[in-house]
Amino acid sequence: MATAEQTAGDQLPSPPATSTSRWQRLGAQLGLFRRSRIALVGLCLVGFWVVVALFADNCLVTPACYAGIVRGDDITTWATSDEYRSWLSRYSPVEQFRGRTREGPSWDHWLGTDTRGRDIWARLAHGSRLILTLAPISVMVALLVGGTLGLLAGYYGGMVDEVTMRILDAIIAFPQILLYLVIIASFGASATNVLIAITIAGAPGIARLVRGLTLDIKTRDYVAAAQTQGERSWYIMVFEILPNARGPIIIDSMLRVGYAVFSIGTLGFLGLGLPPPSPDWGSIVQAGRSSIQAGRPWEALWGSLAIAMVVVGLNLIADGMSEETRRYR
Amino acid sequence: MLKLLLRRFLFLIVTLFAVSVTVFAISELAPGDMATNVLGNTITPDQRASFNAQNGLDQPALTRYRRWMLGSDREAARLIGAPVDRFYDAENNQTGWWVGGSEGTIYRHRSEDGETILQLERDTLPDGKLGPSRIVTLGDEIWVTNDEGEEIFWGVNEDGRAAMWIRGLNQSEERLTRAGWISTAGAPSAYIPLQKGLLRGDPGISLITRQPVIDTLVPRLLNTLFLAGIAFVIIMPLALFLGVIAGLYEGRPLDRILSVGGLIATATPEFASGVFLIVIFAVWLGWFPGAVVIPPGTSIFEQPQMLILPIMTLMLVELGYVLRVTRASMSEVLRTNYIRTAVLKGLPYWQVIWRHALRNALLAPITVIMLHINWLIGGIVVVETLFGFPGLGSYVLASALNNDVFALQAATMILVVIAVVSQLLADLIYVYLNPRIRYT
Repeated sequence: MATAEQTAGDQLPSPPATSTSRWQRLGAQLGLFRRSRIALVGLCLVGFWVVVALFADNCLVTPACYAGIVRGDDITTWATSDEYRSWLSRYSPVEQFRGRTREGPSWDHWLGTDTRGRDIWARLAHGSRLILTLAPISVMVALLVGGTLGLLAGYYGGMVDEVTMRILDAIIAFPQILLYLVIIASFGASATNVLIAITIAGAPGIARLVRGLTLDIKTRDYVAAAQTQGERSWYIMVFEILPNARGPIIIDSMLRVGYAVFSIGTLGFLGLGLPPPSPDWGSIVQAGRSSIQAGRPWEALWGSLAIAMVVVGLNLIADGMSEETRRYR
Repeated sequence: MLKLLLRRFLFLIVTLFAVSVTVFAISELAPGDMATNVLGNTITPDQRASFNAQNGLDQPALTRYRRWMLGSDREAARLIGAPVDRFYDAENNQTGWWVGGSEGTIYRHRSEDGETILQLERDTLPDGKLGPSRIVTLGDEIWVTNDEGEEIFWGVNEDGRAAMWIRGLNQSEERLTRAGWISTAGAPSAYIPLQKGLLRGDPGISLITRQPVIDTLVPRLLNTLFLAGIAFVIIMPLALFLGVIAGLYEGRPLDRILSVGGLIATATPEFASGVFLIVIFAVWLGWFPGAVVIPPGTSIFEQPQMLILPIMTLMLVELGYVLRVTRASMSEVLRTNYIRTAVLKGLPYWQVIWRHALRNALLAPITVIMLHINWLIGGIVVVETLFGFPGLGSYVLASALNNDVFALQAATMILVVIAVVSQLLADLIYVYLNPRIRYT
């Protein structure tokens, strides 16, 4: 994603950590939210959905429900099981209320009901889990793949660099939406395939960023010292270069998680996301699209609002972070 | 400069080649059988075999790639011994392949028993239409003995595919017609689906509509270019202007509003902002139509009010992005030494901005805009789907969802060409505008 490289790429690696304790450093990191109002707003938006995701069912308080997850209970059993209702979401995401379709917000159904008479809030609440786990995981996988490639290309240079970067350039040249379409249309819509698609689309950008940082850090004295000491290449890459490149990588990842949510939503909207009845936010918007013209826009509206909240929130946090690092430069 | 150009151009060709192989490979590697994906899993093994043979899917991947890129008509013409070409049949509103005779008559072939070949003949009339068809029974002299000692005949069958009959071999084939599957006797033993190839502007026949892909592709591409073009023309000056303003007033309330607003607009997925716009402007206020509905026979150009919301949706996402890039670039330029010098030597403020800052500040956004066409393509797919706009984006999606492989490949390639060429242009513009690179 061009934005990510733009904002993160122009920062130098953060200075080497001082001798403060781990907790002090964590506190300093959190201070960001005190200093930057934008980041705080972002945190609230994302935090809201994190809380919702945690309490969408009673799994946190009733351990019995873990058994269901471990057993791999089918999503349709949610309709009958009481463990899947909580104080936050009184209905299960697949429970259908006959005769109560496409209703607006009411006391019974806070956000209304969808075309099949399911509670929209329950669906959004459970859908938040999907998106808030799938997005970070896919970014982590992309980080692993892209980071490794970038480190190798930047550290070794020469042919390795040339070949890797040319291949990655070709992938970047490919509009991401087409990458998603071709991959998911060919291999089918599932969580794994969505993850693979996002990894393939995201890894080249990460590799480019990490390569740039590696090229820079490689010239530092401490790397030369480690080389003279006879450390192995992998050790230098993982323990000397990587920790010192983390600042920009963290900001970039934050943007990428936002972008992954964006992509997962878009895929769902296009009908390429997780198959129904899974409460995927993008699919919720897609399902509600046809009712908008009939003057019942609730399903599409709430779905859009939820996804916009998360993506905007993550972007605001990332923006606050990069503003902050720029200030200290 | 010339060297750079050549290098970039070469890279473009290599990229496009790599992309074409990738697109082809991914759609080939798809799990499951293409016939089942297209026709559903109720087909019989015979039907599947016929479908694969008729569409050339039983050929090795390399052959298929070659036919896809370069076409199969020359290969077929060599086997048939006469040129083949596409002719438009106004009665059935179909374009199909025929053996094109030199004296204005075109031919297709059929056999009912694998023994005698019937030849359909039609004259091409001066006004471009086709005359009535005649059926002629061909004699024994048409059969040619091949290396294996079989007597064979190559012609173009009624479905417009090059086909090879072996004399005396009366086999049946399953054909999917408008009326459903029919089984016919006297079937050919080999087929070559005819197409001119992607490089010559013919990516083949759609597996779903059984019409040439190109016939659907071109009008849709024009629609999309129209939509994106208008959006582009509105967005760019506006975004650059707002970005410059934000950059000039960096840190002040106006800048905060513009840049945070821009961030929110960019971060919101197109389908979400589209839904917001529809709900506000179409449902609540009722100002603009919330969907693009085009009655058959009319074009989108006749109903511009339908384009307002799609364009606004595209605008929101792009506007914020370009605005933020311009703002960053502007504020960076304003901190440089040459601007400080210009201010300190007493030049009027607006002259400093206009003559010194702006030129340098617009360098980055202009290239970024071109690079962002990649992004715009994603937006277009979503916006077209949301509003039901008949463009290339919704076509790509529909062909992906329907497993219409040839249509998907063709549309993808066109979009990739647009993206890659715009990236090349971005590089060239950058070099052109930036003397520091131009003169090295």
